[in-house]
Parts: sequence; structure tokens; C-alpha cells
Amino acid sequence: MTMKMKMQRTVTGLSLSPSVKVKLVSAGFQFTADLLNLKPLQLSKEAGLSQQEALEVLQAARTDGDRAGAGLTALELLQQEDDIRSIVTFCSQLDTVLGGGLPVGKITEVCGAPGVGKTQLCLQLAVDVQVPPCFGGIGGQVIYIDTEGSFLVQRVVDVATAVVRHCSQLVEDDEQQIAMTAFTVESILSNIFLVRCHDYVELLAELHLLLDFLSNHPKVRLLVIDSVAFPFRQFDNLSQRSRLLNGIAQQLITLATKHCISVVITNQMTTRLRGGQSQLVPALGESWGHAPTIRLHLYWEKSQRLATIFKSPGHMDTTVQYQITSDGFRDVELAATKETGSNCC
Amino acid sequence: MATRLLKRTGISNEISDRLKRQQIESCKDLLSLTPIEVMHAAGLSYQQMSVLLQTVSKAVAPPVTTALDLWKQNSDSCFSTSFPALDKLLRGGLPCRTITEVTGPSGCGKTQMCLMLSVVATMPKSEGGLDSSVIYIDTESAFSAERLVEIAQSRFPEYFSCKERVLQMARRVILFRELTCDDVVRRLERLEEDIISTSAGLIILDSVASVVRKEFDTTLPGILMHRSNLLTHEASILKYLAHQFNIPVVLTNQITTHFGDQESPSSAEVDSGCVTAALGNTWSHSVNTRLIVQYVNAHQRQILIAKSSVAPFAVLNYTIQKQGICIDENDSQETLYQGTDPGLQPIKVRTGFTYRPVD
Amino acid sequence: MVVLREGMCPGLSEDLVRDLRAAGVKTVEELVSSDIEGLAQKCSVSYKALFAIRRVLLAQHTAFPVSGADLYEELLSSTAILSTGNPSLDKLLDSGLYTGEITELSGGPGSGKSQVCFGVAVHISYHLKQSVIYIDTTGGLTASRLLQMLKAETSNTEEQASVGGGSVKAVIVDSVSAVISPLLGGKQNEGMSLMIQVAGVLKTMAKDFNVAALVTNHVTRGGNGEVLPGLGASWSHIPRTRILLERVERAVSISCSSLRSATLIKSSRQVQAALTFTSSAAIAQY
Repeated sequence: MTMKMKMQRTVTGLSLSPSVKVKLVSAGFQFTADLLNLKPLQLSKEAGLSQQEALEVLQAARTDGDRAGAGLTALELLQQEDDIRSIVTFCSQLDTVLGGGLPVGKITEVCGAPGVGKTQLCLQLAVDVQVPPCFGGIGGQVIYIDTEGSFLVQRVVDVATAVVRHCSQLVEDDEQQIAMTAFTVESILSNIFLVRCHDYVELLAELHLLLDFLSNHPKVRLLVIDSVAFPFRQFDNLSQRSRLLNGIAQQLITLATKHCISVVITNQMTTRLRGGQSQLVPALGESWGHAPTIRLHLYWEKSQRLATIFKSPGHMDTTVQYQITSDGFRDVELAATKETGSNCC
Repeated sequence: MATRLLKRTGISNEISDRLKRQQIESCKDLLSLTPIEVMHAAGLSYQQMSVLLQTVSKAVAPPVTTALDLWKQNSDSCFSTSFPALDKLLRGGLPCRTITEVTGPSGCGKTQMCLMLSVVATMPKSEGGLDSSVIYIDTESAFSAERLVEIAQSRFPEYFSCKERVLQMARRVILFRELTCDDVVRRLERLEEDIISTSAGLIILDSVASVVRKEFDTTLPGILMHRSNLLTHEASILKYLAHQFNIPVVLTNQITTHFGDQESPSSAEVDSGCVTAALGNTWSHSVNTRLIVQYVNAHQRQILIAKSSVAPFAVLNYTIQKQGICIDENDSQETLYQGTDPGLQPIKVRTGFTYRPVD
Repeated sequence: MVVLREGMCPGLSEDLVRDLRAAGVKTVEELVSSDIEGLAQKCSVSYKALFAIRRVLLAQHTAFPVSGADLYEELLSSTAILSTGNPSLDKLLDSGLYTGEITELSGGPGSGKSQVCFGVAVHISYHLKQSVIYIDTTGGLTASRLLQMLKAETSNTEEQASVGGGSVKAVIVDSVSAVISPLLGGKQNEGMSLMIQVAGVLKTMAKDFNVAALVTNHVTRGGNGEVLPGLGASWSHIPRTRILLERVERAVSISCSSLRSATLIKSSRQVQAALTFTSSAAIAQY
């Protein structure tokens, strides 16, 4: 009959400073059970800690069990997912393939060659997230972190005007009529929070402060980072870059799931030389590829623009065609029949 | 902002001293560490470390504005190029706070364009200019003061009728000659002071490609990454300056031959590969607007808008005359072309030379 | 290093602990390895009492040798093998996931790790009627995808609603590298020690509660450009079985190839082997 050790919480698993943990372990404390019946003064004498440190240790040991979150059953998760809507992109083919649009609570990466429309898609989403619920939207606000300087207000005004026009053509009942009075180009602009980060340090700092910002602005439903690649492409120390990117990835996942927002990141393409042949792959390395839940790859096929879902746990890999018009991100067929505006860069 | 010292961010002296002993002095040093490294270096528990990071982040993070504020502030956030057709396509002109690149084969008019934009920038707002100085960084020694004056007097004869105004314009164009990559980077890093002292409204870098291509041989392994890093560094400095001072930046680039599986549309003319903008894919990401100048025949040339957040793929015809670039205003309906990836857009070069015998 | 405390065993009173400490014996190790006669004299306690205390402490804190036959009997009686739902994947794993062990799936982004984990979860809860604990650190768990997989198994909504219910037989962690890799590297070792602690907890849990632990890991590029599982050499000893998933790249374009390959890179039971599979609406099939 083998001896089964009861599973106990170890002292090293507590969130204390490393030097304090070292002192506790060398004084012989292995499990939190050892600490429970001690008083601060006694602990401080035995382990060589200051009184303040001893008090912190005891508090950490006591509240330790409460920190772990309670789990959900898959059924509960399914019900939650049904309640949450997606953000439409206004390119109906892409929306259908994504099951309604970009999912909220997940991280989506949009990577592609220059000029293919990544920023255009982000600007479109920044407006689309604000569409009122009675029109099928979410009615949320957006934080737009711009690292490249490609956020041009005139363009947002164009896209917003087109969306407002589209919605006012759809008005059927009073509720929608009332919603339209509050949904104007100015209100759309006022709901876009803009942050311009010039280097990776500012980006990291802003991400640290986002948790507080989101608690103060509970209506935010979308976070756009355009682009995450630019500030990180001047790094010489690649292992430090991977560590920082992994940290950012986890922060974004926490933000997306805790605050129920959709995170959209744009990434650039880079040339990778593999055995004499050069290939274009998403930048920032292999380990970054794990951060986003969904990866959208936008690329040129001669003069056509195509979007492929490259990675998604919930959808099949498919490709659709889209275009950028003066109104924004659209389907290809729609524009051909409507003939509004001309083909944009 | 990132180089701000930790001492002045409001954290306790004890912690900042402890960090200083481990060579962590500025906010950049601290934020470049992972949370567990911070806990180790500062000797803090997890909660205390979070508080420390919050305090330091508040000191570094840029302010949050809304798009509405931005819209209200910038009623004139474009630099008119003085060509109505081009301005109309670009919705006002070259956008401030961004980098505009002019690329194309040699002799097509890139330097002429830069000289012309310099003249326009020095003119008063009533004439469509920016009424400010111009910082002109020249890496090819292609700048010619006589040509500058000739363009000014030929293009805007009424304004530059008196010599005084010409001299004033010339005084406002500040020229820096930098002939190596390191010189260029050093100049850019110090440019803030020059912009403030001369109250510059336009930065021109002619050209960004020549120094880089002289010094980096990309056939050697590993050099491509170094070159990309350098170019991205230059781009981020320029974007920072453009944003902080709300001014436009104009650069010129060269061309390269791209050997790939790309069939050029007019394959009969080009023998092997196709000609595209130089400096690679990463650089194409870094510029916000790309204008390509190319040849149609010995006299006729074209400007293509290859990458822009606001403009469609458009083509304008022009010629080079005494007054610099001359866009045919009568040919006013802009033709659109089937655009593609701005890094792979084929560029037409001069295929032959015709010699007219001098009579 | 366990500190001597009163009440640890009968006979160890507070006074005795204090006397022992004064004699320089603070921990169990020191007591067990010191001279009992001399110590008994110093602390004015009977030799027999101290000897008895030492015996009890030894029994409490040491490991006992077990015969191989006993171990085998125990393994037969307590270990279960859980099928993953893919016959070929089961063959790769020597008939399935073993309880009491950690199995690792590593692969690049989009290689299908989460899909395989979903498939395993659905299979165990539907066919084996046992519960599964799914720890998701990537935000990739979509209940609608689980429902889609379940619908492919049975279209009867009643049966769908009655899955699971038994005791927990599997713990799936997707992915373990997402939370650990930000801690590694730099000038500190705490990250590494946290990783080993997590590994220790997983192993003990798998053994004590008779569950199968399935974890996913990311990949990095080795010196020659070959693909290796992440988290380094220290982690590589933790899982008993390791499988590497890769997208099968066809032709030039990166876009969609739904063919994946699974290679067994570490196993204490099998020779190296490989197979290919595709993802579809149902659980991965070939």
C-alpha cells in the first residue's frame, strides 16, 4: 500500500517577494498549513523576517484559497456565448464566414502586406462597433492605440458618414428612429478613444493602464492596436522581444476575457529566408502566433484583395474577396452593383 | 518619455535605489522587464509589483484623446502641394504627422518635387504655403540652390517678383548634407532642436535609399535584418517628430529589380524581373503614403498614388519644365489604375534614349 | 527541511521541542541523523521515548521501497486508458491517454492543438460518460465549437444534454506555455522554479486522483531551424509522452491547408511514429 501525500498548498506558491520566500523555506516552512496557527511576531523571529513581512505572509496564506476563480461548465459557457454578439465588418462574405463578424472576448490578428487594407479594416471596425443594438450592433465604444501614425480623421469621417447613411436607410420603427438621433458622425468620433504610442515602452505602459481605463469606461467593447509590429521591429535582442510579446499576449487575453471586449491587432509581414528562398510570413516570430485566437491574413492576388482565415478554433480555413471603397471595407459584389465611390488604395 | 528617470515618477526612494543598484534607472529599463524580473529586482510581492508598474506606467503613457478632439483641432492638417489635381485626390494635400514617400527611377523628377515643395512651404498661408522653414537633408548632393530659385521664379512669378522675397525664401530652406548612414541617424536624433530653433514646417530627406544601399549588402546573411532595423528606427524618429510638431515629412526612395514569380503586365518591354520600389517590404509598411513617379516616354511622365489611406489608385500625367513639375491641368479627369501591393507595383523606367542632333 | 513542532507526533511536547532546539536540533533531519543517546542525556528525556519519537518521525517522512510486482499490480488496478476518439492517434499513444501521466501536445499556431483537445474532451464526456476539467489560458475555448463536435456525434439533443456526469477522469491544460513562457529568461530563476512547481502539482494530481493530464505547448526553432517544443530542456522531462503537430505545407501559398501531421517525439513505450489527419466539423479524422 503506497502512501498518498495529501495535496497541500506549498509556501513557494504564494505571491510573495522572492527574498521572503527564500527565508521561509530555509526556516523549514514548506506548506501553508504550517503557517496557519502562527502569530506574526513568532513567525518573524523564526524566519528572520521583519514584522511587516511576517504579517503579509500570514495574510497571503489565509486568503490563498479564495483567489482561484470558480470554473464554468461548458453549458454555462455556451449560454454566455449566445448572449454576446459579434462586430460586423460590413463585408457580408467575411461576416458570414466568421459566423456573424469578429467575436467579442477573443483576440483577432489581421496581418498582411502594406497597403492591403489592415488600417482600413480597423477604422471600419471602430465605427461598426458603435452601431446601436436595435440595428444589430453592439453600441460600444472603442480604444484605438495607434503606433504607426496611420489614423487619419478624414478617413474615419468618410467611413462614419457611410455607416450613418446606411443605417438611416434601414430605419423601420420608432426605436430605431430614436437611436438614429444619437448616432451621428460626431457621436461616433467622440466614442473613439485615441492613444498615439511612439515606441514599445509607451505601448507597454499603456497596456498596464488599460485595466483601470476599462473599469472606468465599461462601455468599451473593442480594443484596436495598429500595429503591434512596428514598435517591436527595431529590437536586437530577440529573446527579450519574445518575452515582452508573450507578456503582452497574456495581458491582452486577460483584458479580452475579463472585460468581454474584442481585441484586434494588426501585424506586418516580413521576409524569411529559408534555404535560399524568401517567403513572406507574419512578423514577430513563431511564439507571437499563439497569442491571437483568430488570424486573418489579407493579401494581394495581382490586383484583387483576398482575406483568409488562417487560424481559428471555431471556423474552417476559408478565403473571401473584399475591396476598399471610399465608404470603407466592403464586399466585391455589393460595390459592383451599387457603384458608389471608386476603388481606393 | 521612455527615458524618463524612475526617481522622478513618484515611486519610493527605497525602491528606486534598490533598482538603481541593478542598473535599472529609467522607465524604459523597468518596463522592458517581465513582471517576475521586476519582483526579483525590487524585492516586492506580486501586488506591490503591480502597484509599482502602474505608477511607472502612468508617468510614461501618452495621453488619451478622442477622435472628435482630433477632428476639431486639425482644420488644416494637410500640406497643399500646389497642384489642384493632386490635392483633390489626396483630400487636401500631403497629410501632416505622416511620412510621404516619392519613389521612382533616376531623373524622373523626385528631387524636382522636393525642391518645389520646399518653395511652396516657405510661402505665406494666403498663397497656399505653410509660412515656415524647411529642413532639407540631402544625402546625394543633388540639391541645387540655383535650381531652387529658378523654380520659384518660374512657377510663382508674381509672388517672387522682387528679389527680397526670393532671398527670404532661400534663407528659410536649411540644408544639411549627410553622406553616411550614421550621419543621417545622428542628424535625425538631433533634429528636434533644429526644428524648434528654425520653427520648421516641413522635413525633406532626399534620399533615404542611397546611403543605406551603399553601406548594406543584403546578399550577406543577417544584413537584411540590420538594414530593416535601421530603416524602422529612422521611420519611427521621423514619425515621432512629425506627430509632435504636426508637420509633414517627405522622403525619396530609389528603385530595384524584383526577381520573382510576378509577371509584369507589359512583359514585352521588361526583359527579366520587374522594377519596383527599393528598400523592401518592411519599409513599405513604414511609409504612410507612397507616390511613384515613372516614365511614359522621353518627355511624358506619370505620378501614381500607390499607397494612401484616403486616396484611390490614381494616375496623373506631368512633364518637367523650367518651373519644375508641370501637371497637365486640362487632362483633369484622373484616371484610375488597377493597383496592387505598393511594394510590388511595377514601375516603368526609361527604355531608350533618343538623341536629337543639334542643328 | 521540516521544522520540529510540538504535536507532530505523540510525545513531542513544547518543552521537548525547546530543549531540542537549545541542543541545536531544529529539524526532523537533524533529529534523525543525530546521536540519540547523547541527545537524550542533554535534554533529560528517556532514551526509549526519544527513540520512539524518532521511529514515528521516520515512518511519517521517509519513502518506502516498493517491489516491482506490487507496483505492477497497483498500476493494473488503478490506471485507466482513455481513448482520444481518433483510432490512429490512439495507436500513436499506445492505445490512448494513460491516467496518472502527463501527455504533451506541441505545435505551432494553427496546427490543431486546441482542436485535438476539444475532441478529447467531447469524446471522454460523451462516450466514456466521465467529466473533464478544461483549463484554458489562451481564450480559445469556444463552447459552440464543442457543441458542433458533439452534434456530429449524435443529433439527439437529449443525449447531448446528458454528457459527462461521472468523476473527473481528465484534466486538459491549454496551453501551459502561454502562462509560463513570460516568466522564463532574464536574470532570475523564479520563473523556472514556478514552472517546476506547476509540473510537480500536475504530476502529483495525476497520480493521486487517477486522472490523465493533457497539456499543450508552443514550439520554437532550434539551432538548425528545426521545430522543437517550447519551454526548454527542463520541461522536456516532465511529460511522459510528447507529440508534435504540424501543418502540412503544400505548394507555395501559406493559405489553407487543413492537413496536419502528428509525430511522436518522446514516449516510454513506443518507437517514433507519425500520422496525418485533417480537421473537419466533427472530431479530427483521417
